[in-house]
Amino acid sequence: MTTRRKSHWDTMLRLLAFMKPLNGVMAISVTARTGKMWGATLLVAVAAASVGKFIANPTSGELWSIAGWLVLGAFGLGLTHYIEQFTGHYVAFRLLAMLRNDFYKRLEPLAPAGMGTLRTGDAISRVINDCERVEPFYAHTIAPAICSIIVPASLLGWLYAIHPVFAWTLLPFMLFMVFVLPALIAVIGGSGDADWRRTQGDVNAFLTDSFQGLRDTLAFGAGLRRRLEARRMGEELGRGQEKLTRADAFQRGITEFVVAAAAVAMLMVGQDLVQSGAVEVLRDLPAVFAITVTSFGAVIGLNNVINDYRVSIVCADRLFELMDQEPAVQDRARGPLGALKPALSFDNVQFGYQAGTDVLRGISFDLAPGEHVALVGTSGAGKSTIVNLLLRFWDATGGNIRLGGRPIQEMPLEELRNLVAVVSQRNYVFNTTIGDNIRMGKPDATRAELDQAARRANLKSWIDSLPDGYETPVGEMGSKISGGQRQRLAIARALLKDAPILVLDEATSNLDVETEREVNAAIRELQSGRTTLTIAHRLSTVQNADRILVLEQGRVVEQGRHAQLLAKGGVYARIFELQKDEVDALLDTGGPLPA
Amino acid sequence: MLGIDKRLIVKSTSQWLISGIVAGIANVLLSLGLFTVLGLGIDGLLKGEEVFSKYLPVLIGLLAAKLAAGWFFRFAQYRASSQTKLSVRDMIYEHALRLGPAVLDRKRTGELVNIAVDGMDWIELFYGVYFVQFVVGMATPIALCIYIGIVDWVVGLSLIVAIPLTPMFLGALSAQFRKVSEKYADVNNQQSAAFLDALQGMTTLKMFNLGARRGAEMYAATEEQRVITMRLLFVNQVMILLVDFGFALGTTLVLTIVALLRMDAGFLSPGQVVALILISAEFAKPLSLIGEFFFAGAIGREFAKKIIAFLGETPTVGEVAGAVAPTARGTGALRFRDVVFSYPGTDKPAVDRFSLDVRPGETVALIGHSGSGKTTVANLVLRTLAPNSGSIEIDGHAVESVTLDWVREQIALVPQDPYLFYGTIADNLRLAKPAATDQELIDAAKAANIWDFIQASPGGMQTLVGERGLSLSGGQVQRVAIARALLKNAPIIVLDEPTSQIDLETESVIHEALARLTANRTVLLIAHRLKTVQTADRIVVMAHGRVIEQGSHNELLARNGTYAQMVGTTRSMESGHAVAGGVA
Repeated sequence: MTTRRKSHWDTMLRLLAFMKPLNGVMAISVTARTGKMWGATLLVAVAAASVGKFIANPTSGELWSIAGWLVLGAFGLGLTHYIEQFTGHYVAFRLLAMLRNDFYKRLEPLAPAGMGTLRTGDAISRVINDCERVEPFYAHTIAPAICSIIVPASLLGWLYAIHPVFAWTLLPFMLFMVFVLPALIAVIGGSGDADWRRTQGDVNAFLTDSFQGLRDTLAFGAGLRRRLEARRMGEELGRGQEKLTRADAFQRGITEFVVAAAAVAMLMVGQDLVQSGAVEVLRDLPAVFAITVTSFGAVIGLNNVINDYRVSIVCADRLFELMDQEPAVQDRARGPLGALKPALSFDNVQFGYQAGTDVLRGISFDLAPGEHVALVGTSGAGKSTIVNLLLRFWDATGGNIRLGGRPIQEMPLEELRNLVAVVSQRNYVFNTTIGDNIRMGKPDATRAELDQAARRANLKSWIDSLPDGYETPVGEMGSKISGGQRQRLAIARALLKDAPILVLDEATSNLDVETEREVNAAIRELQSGRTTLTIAHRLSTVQNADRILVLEQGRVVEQGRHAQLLAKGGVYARIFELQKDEVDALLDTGGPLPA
Repeated sequence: MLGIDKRLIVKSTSQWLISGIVAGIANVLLSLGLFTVLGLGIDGLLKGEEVFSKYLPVLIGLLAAKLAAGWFFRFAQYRASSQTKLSVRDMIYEHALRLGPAVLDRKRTGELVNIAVDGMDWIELFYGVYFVQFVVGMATPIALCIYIGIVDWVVGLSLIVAIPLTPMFLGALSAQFRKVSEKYADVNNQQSAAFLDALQGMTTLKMFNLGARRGAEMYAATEEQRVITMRLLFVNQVMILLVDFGFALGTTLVLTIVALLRMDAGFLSPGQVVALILISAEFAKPLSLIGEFFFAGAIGREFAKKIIAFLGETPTVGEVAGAVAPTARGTGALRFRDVVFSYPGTDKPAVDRFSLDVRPGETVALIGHSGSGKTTVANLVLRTLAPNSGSIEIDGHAVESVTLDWVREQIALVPQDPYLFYGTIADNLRLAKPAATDQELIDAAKAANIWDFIQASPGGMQTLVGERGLSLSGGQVQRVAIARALLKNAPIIVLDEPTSQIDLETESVIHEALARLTANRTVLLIAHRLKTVQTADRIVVMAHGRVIEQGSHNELLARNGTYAQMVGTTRSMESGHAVAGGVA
């Protein structure tokens, strides 16, 4: 978290710097937009001016010439609009891709430590939305902002050419619209915007809470109460919005007024100039009126994008904050490593995710090559933290972790992670094909290797039964991929990876007993010949380990084989006592129930 | 025609919408008035009149009216949108309550939040910037043509052709927009999904050293899609060129030439022609304004469809007309007779000819593995599900004959994963009894063994729980739920026994609290522990939705069936043989 409050300017400049590669396209877009707005004015002004011309020369030739100019103007209008739209889309599309790519590239080295609050799908969706909301800054803010200066300025120039007094008359109206009105609106709206956003957040949180807690709401007959409360909050939100509503309505009214008043002012000065003979009625006034009433288009457009701009900046701030974090670990070591014995040792390792709250308080243990060691303990004992430290997602704050005798900090991250395969509680299955998911263990695996891994993980017959086999997209099956299949898929991945050290992090704890039995067969296949660290809270999974370590509050409190630990009557025995009478488990071991 | 179902336009909304439309059209008419005066001004100046002072009163009136109409135009739209948001959101929540949690599982809850939160923002925008603008935009060409026709019928007639132009071009534009935006949305959704997938699975990717590689792949895929989409746009967007071109020709060009000819023939003054030309620019305005908010229209309509589809779902459990609320508090008798229930879309019944009598004060434990129908039975009692056939009676009342409120008053639920709402601990306890005194809260907390913890928390009863406050452990949440159930003081308790991963210390504390809760009440226990089961008055073993065995612990042991087998397994475990889980 950065403590320094960034100003809008910093964020905006950074965003502008980011879009440098697209400056050329953006320039075309701005030019086209200017052209389009000019075209709209030109069309009406030429038509209006034609009245005088036609009176002076009422021939069909003149009529054709007028028509010709109008066709040309109309075509110019269409063409510039087309170019503006096309380049706008181009910029929007490219930038969104660039933003996502950049964000991903910056976040990837930070994960998972730097993911911070991004643990839940919801939070990740919000980040994705943030990326999408930054895009309007480029696509819908920059061009209108530039045009809101260029277009009025050039039209004022045109008026000046007709007669300077017209330009001087319109100038204050323009200045009012570009500078005074936005400031006035800000004063009237006051903190309304921020208040409204905050209340809106509260209402949304309340609603989300209500839907998620629907069962408990109904069970306690609190439905009507929460409904009324939601309504009351909504009404309060509505009242908070009142200020904004008034500011916006005021802005609209004033805009209508100013555009009309500018035209009225032109009539007033026009009369004087006509009477003094400085301008001619039909040659100059129609064009002046036409320019005046169409000249505000660019300025009015600007007010509409201010909100987009604000949202973009807020979202960009949040993204930058995530991207700017320091990685939790540094990858300084250079390879190659050479041959290592698959031995693992934790020596007095200490660690806490936050300062002052240690999860591991000096934990020590060794795994000899090929040994199978289990870590058990109640939740919160720090079991899964051990995996995070071993893979160097975080660095221990004290003590040493060694792999094959080498401190893991001295290994290149990539090589370290190649040495360890992890099968965890909820393995992430990507929304690609089954084959792609397995191939993650070895991207260049041959079909034969794939088959072998699938067979050893007990997946082959299932995959063969699918019409598209390995090419079956996981997404299409939705929730049809069962917990057991998911775990076996992760096992197949780990088999392909063929790493000498294996970590099973609650690999079977989300499965029912029957499925667990199936998966265990695949796990045994995976374990053979590998140094294995099994982490579990369900003791049934660890009874056959060479050694069991019992973790409590960040320390190893007992170790030994299953029978020894039971006999000892300590923590392990107590956990065992508690778990042995779980009815669901017993029902299954008691054999299938009669139908 | 506006693509919005009537149910989403409540009465107060429609009044504001109509007001907004009136103000919008008034604004167009006022512009016509202004241009007419400018034209009169030109004619006057040609004659050497003092036009400004002559028309000043009219101009001041026009300016004031423009100010007012512009103000009201926005104001009415805001009102309409905020009213709609309020009522529709209420409708959604009310309907969700009616459908109940059994229909709205976890996944659906996510969708629902999306509709009611994000979707409502879009509906708000739909009414706030699009709807009124759209109607005004459609009406504008008609108003303009009528006005021009009054000034000069020939010019008016020549422009009648322009009346259908607006809807036609809008139609063409929206078809284009839809095609492009669907394509764009499609590509964008795919990429967004891939991005989400990569972020969610990032830890897994890193374990396989594939993080950077996945990023490069995604970017390459995006680029490829972009090129395809841009090619599509390059051709498709030509429509914009044609629309703009055609529209300018169809309005400004036609009007200018015809008006000049009419002026030549002596039917129009030069000032009138100038006024008409200025007015011609108004034809194009609605097109660009509607175009600007097209997205609000398209997305708003999409969400409106989703909302209507949701509101159209029929609740499985409805209050039967004429249902009464018995005045007496129930004694807690519970009876099932041949109850059959299947989840919609499945043919195998989840509960199959299930019969059970529970006496007041009796504790009945339901056991059976997942899928055996235990939880469904609990939902049937709570009437979040209704049986397909058979009957359920509480205190002798068929549950259909009494109000839903009464049924739910008779039962306190302690689920395995209780939900605590964002708010204080006191708020969460008062969910069960809004009028509870502080002392009552404290008593309940003490009985549930959670008082010590509450007292030690910085804010006491006022400590915030949930996302932004104190995070409670699983065991603590359980005890808050027990306190909640105690406060409700219902004659029947439906208890889904807590199991997973509760630490050693809290285990006994929770059991003590549960014992206090269940004393002297009828208890339907979805049991997960043999120890708890043994203390039940009656044990019901379920499989495939049916009762396969029932009786007391001793009776079942004597019968030597499934239950006895289970107990035997435990005995053998105690004597030290390895067992559960099939680790060979």
